[in-house]
Amino acid sequence: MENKAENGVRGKESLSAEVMIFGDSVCAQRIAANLVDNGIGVCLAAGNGSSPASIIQDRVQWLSDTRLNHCHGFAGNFTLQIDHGHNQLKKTVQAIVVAEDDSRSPNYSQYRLTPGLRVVGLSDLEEKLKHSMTESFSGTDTRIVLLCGWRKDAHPSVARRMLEGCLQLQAQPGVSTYFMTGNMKVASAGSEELVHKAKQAGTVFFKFTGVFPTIQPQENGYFTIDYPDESTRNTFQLTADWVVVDETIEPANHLELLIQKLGIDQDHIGFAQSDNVRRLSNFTNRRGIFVAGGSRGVLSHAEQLADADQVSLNVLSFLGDLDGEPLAGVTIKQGLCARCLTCVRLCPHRAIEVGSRITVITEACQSCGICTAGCPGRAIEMEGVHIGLETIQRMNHLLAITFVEKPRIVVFGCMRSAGQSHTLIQVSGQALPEGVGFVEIPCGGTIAGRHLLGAFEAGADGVMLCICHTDNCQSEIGNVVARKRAESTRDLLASAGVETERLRIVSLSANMGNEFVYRIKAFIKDIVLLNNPQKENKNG
Amino acid sequence: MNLNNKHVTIIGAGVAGLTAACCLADWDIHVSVLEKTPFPGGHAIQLTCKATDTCVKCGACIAEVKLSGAIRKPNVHIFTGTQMESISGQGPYRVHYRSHSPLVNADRCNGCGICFKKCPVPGTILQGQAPRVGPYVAIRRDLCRYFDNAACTLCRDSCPQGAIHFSNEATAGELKADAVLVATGFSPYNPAAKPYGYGLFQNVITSLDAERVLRDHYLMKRPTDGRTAQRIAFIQCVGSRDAKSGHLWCSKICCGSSLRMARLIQSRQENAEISFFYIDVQTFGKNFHSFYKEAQENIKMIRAIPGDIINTKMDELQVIYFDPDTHSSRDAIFDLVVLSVGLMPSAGNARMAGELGWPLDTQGFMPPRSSPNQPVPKGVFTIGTATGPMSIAESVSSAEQTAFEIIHFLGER
Repeated sequence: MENKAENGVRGKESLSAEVMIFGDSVCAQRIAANLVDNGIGVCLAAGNGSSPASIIQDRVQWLSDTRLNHCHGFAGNFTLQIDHGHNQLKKTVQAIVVAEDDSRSPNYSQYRLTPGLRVVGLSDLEEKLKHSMTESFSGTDTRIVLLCGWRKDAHPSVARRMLEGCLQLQAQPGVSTYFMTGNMKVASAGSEELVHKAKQAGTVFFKFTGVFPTIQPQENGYFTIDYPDESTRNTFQLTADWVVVDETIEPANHLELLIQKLGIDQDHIGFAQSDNVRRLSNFTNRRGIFVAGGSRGVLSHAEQLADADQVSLNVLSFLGDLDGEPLAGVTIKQGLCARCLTCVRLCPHRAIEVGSRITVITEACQSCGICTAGCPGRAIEMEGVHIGLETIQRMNHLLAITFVEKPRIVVFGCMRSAGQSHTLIQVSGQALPEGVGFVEIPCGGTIAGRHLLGAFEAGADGVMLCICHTDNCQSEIGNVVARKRAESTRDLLASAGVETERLRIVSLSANMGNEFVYRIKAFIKDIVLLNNPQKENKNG
Repeated sequence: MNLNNKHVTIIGAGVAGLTAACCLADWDIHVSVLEKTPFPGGHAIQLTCKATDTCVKCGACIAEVKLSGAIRKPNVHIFTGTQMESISGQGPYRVHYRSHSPLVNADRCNGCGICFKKCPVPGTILQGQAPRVGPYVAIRRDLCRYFDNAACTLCRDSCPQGAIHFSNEATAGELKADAVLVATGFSPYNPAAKPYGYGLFQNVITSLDAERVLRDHYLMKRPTDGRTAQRIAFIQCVGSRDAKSGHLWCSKICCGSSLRMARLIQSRQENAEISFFYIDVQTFGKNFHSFYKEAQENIKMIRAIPGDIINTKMDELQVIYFDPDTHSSRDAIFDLVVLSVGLMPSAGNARMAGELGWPLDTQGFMPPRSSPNQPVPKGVFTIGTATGPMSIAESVSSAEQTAFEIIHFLGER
């Protein structure tokens, strides 16, 4: 507890800044209110024709009918060009929050239904229930069938809303409800209790595995549903007066364009944040750009409000940090830079500015070093990082202490994964196997082919490159480029007559101390066989 | 906002407590974290990374990140082996605690592991899974035979470093707290009451045990003979979604962690045959659909909860269940059975709630500030799995969001 860095604390007494929020969702409006309460200026780019809630009215700059045209600049100093009606607007802000609403559409086709008078989507049902427009549902012997997550599993928050709707319908006079589902999604808080309550209230639940009912609309507007009963294995028929379908929650249509203009990563569904635990909860690949609510995933109403508080904290902390110490510097040596723009293309954090000179923006840079390894002119330097030199030192040490017949191995490892695992095994009293030198690197992406070849040149029998697992790189692509570079280095080794097995790529996480040792030992075993092929023949 | 004269006490140094500590410390607040076990990190720090080659977003690595973050902050103090005794005042509060001195001297211990081998009670000597805070090896007082009047001193006598010192010494102390944050986490369900032979058959283990086996041994080793288990059954909802026991909640994380573990085992043991007994598969993560599809192709998914497990003469486990496909009672033989135990309210919740005047929900969790319909004490907050089952990512969210509320609260005073 003693050796703590003394510069970890900073004051947040005087934050004067302006933040741009994209979206007019409840989440966006709550973020605006939170930030304004903390003395931050807020400009909110809303959709068409919406108006602010009373809590933020007159306190934020509310722009409706907007479209982002261009985003220039970097953390602490973004310049945004916005189409606002027929005008063009220019804004300079310190941070950006994307908090657009999600888009919700009823799942008609999943149940082979078409929108119709007696087919109700979940959101429509909620509107009707909210405004007590339930007369149409009540009557004598009204049967309402709720369809939830058949071939495509429903999101737990959607399933929860279906259950809430079901309970309310069941309470209407003369209504009986039937809930038909595949996997019953009860992972939302309180859902299991709702199922229990609904059962007590008289809702009948049907669960299906693999084989689902068929729904036939009748001429009178009702439906007949033929469903397989899993316990008796017979098919039964149910007539329904109404059918309620669940919904799919997706990113809003216009989110994609915003993502492109802001230069932030996207997940495979289309939300404005890559599916990477290192982005938890509101971070993006760009410093100073945050994402919240329905822009980052499927969140329930309560979760969206909570997310607003969370992103507010993250934004305030970021603004307070702006005056703090920057990370270790990355600099481009102007005499060597040929303006090839490789670094600009490689940088996952958009931290390289193309001006009269090419420069690294300290505020946006996250010191991954992907550019240093990728620069063909070797013009980029990273403060305190000397991989080549360290490799030679480790190898010289190994050559001095290890017996000739034992293999010597250089292990390069990302400080966020293998580096942590290395610390773990050290503190648990273990040591790396004999003959292994560990070189910690800021990111897998810091390694260039020359570093790998350099290790062989210095006398290594084998080189192991430890990177983070796919989708778990702090710099998103560091592990991907590392793999590519190592693979092309393998080709070079092959053409030089060196066995490609001498270079191994391994993915690890921060808490895999034992596996780290296990992997190294397995590698040493293989290298021993490569060094002594006769032995292998004898044994085999 | 100047908060550098404010003090917050966090009870519990799990992933939620540590995340909140980091956030609050960033605002110059003095943070004290009380942790009753010898190590910080909670349950999460003991979990295994479940990535095959691609990260599956289990979040296990987050615990490590948050812990090393908290340790580095000069204004965060973690008190291990320390329990809250009582709380007084109306806000600011005075938190009274009791700290046991560690039984293992961290400066002397070199982690050789001899004590592990000597100890006759499994699970008594713990090895920390986290960057060093205090001792790295610790002895659980509640299990140790020395404290059970049996006066066993095998570990102390065998320690080559002379690092073990038995003592019942405890020091009392108190902390000023402008706000108190409860992050006491959950208790894993004890499946001894279920007909699965847990506690009788050593090869029936819990999902938390399985995490540790995978982390420590890489392969899924059987406790009885150390052999690598090839036929493995996962049984879901052990203790959760259990109306008979009054547990009307889904523990939320078990489908995700067990299916991910199953796929991890298959990536390491090519021939592993895995069966998954379940009621409903719950959604986890953004890539659930593709992950689930892959799991269905490689894992035998059986929508049934077994009724009995018998240990055969060959030291195998015979699982008896009602097979939904053939509509008849069947049995299957496994080398190892993993019970996905539910997340229960922490055993100390009732006492904690009484001490703080916090209303428990119908299930016995301590709901977050926003949800109870009754007044809650000023300046007290609850986060993480103390409030109900949640994943690591959700615990982080819950902590960050509540940290914002606390900062807001402290700024107004």
